[in-house]
Amino acid sequence: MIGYTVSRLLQAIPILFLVSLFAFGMIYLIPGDAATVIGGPEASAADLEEIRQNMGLNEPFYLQITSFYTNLFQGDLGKSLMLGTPVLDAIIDRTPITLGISIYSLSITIIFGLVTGIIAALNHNKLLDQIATLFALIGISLPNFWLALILIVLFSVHLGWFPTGGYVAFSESPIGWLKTTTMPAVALALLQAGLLTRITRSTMLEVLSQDYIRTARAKGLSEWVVVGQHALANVMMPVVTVLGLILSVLLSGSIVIEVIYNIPGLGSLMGNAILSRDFPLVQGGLISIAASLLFLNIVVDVLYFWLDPRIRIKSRD
Amino acid sequence: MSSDTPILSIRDLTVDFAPKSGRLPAVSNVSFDVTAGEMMCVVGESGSGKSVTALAIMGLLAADTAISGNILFEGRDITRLSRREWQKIRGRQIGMIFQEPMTSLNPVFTIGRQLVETIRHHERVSVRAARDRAVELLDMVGIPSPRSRLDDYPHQMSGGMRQRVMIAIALICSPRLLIADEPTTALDVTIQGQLLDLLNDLRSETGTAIMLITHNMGVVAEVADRVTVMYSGCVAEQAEVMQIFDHPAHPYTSGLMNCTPKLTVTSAQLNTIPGSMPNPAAAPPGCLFAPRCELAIDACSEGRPAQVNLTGNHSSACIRAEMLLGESAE
Repeated sequence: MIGYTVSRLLQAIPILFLVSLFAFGMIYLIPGDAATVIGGPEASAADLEEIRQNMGLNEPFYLQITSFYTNLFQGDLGKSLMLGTPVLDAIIDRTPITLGISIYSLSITIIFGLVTGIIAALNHNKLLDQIATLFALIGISLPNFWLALILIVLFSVHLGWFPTGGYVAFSESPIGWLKTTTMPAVALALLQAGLLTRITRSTMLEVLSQDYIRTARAKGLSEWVVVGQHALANVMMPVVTVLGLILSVLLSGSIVIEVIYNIPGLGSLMGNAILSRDFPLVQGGLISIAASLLFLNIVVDVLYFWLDPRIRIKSRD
Repeated sequence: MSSDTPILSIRDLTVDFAPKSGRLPAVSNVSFDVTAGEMMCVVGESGSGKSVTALAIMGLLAADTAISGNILFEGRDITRLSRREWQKIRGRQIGMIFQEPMTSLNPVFTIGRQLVETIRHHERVSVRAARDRAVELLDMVGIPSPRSRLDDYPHQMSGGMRQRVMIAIALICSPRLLIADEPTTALDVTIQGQLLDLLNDLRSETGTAIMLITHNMGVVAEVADRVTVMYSGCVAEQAEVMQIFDHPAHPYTSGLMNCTPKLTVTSAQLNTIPGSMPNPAAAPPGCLFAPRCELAIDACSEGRPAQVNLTGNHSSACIRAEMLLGESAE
């Protein structure tokens, strides 16, 4: 297991290298000159020259790339143009907020998706199955930004249960945190929950028709044990694989959702950075989001490894 | 050998698939007994209703099947039991082994866990005691170094070993009846013999009656006490094993016996029964075997033939049974 984890971590290195190379190359990929994009249309020639000097754009290519990587290895992602603070600090500040909402959203996805998926499978082709499938389809079809707006109209404007936006840290007031994060988390979760419902349902249906389920019933085990243990243990494998994908979608979806709900997370930070052409911040954000996604996928892979004894044995041989 | 009280007695069992969208009879009017401690073989081609009958006894048929008739287990009609009551009989009083050892064990649980959970489901014992009992059972079904095998997963075992584990699971509560649905079909010939011997030994040790489903007349000849031949969801012939081999009273039985390859006969071609089983949705009005039968006469296609009692326990659903018996006696 440890060997497997280490090998997965080693595999992540070339991927991270490629991502950082892309982040670095962004400056060169912009049509024209990075300085004119940053400076905007009103910048004078002197201003542009100053920007070039500050960003080291006048240096030879090999010096630029070596200093980029030297700084990267030292944990220095540069200074944000927009905030005037180090990029790393800004990212470290905002990450817990986004992570908190993502985990909240993921929990809603897992609970809702698994439960409805299993209920649908157990009532195959009956009314409950059709209702669950319909809800899953609605969840998949609704764009999350639209859902986010509808939730605001319904629960904030009409019912007044939740604030329309803003953020209260969990350490300040857990209830305030729940009030400000529930709607964003639900808006993010619904699409993924619909997806998970469908996957759980179809996997469960397949597993329930397997010979070993018949064996479990033939042993006289109760339906609860047959479904809750024998079937579920087999359903979890594809579900965990999908969870890795769902996590990455949740993180990228947070950009739109955080802007709508005015939450000062990583997503809205990145959104603002892109709009104000804050290159160092976009670069830093890209690298750190890629790194955290890679890490989460490794966690999922290791979990999968732990769930499926067939993979475990193969790698031991 | 066996006392005469039947522990399982099936009367006029009919199983229809998907009764909502038109009747599709899988088993019709099947009646037979299994007496305590005997080895009863149910023989027939694929699709003859053998497995469906077995699953009906276990109550494991899909939800959209309709069962009529009676299944009396120790005098109690189990078709009228609630799901909970049926669960008490399954695994405890009736055990079952399936055809596919490769897929019949849960791939993500260890052998030990699958044994221990069943033991602890039926008996109030500690995990330690259940593991000891699991080792005993694995030893009994001939698995070498059973204790170290407990923590193995099914995929680490061969098909034969897995089928032994299945037998061990089925034997946990020393059931009165063990249903073995083609337990050796998916296995090597060498392993087949070993497993049949094992089943036979277990039967004489524990007194468990075995209902062995097979399509192989060779297997029947080796282990059976009594034989029920099924064709297209109906019972074609029933008899003691010696009677059926010496005096088959149904052309289908003789057909099956001719199909078993013999080492002593050199012939370029294997024997077959020409044609195939009728589609249950469009079955012919007369004897279901008549279209494939060499001995069919006009009367065969007029009405379903009834079971005719010949001698003692011997019965056949062929209107020419007496003629066939007369022939083989000559």
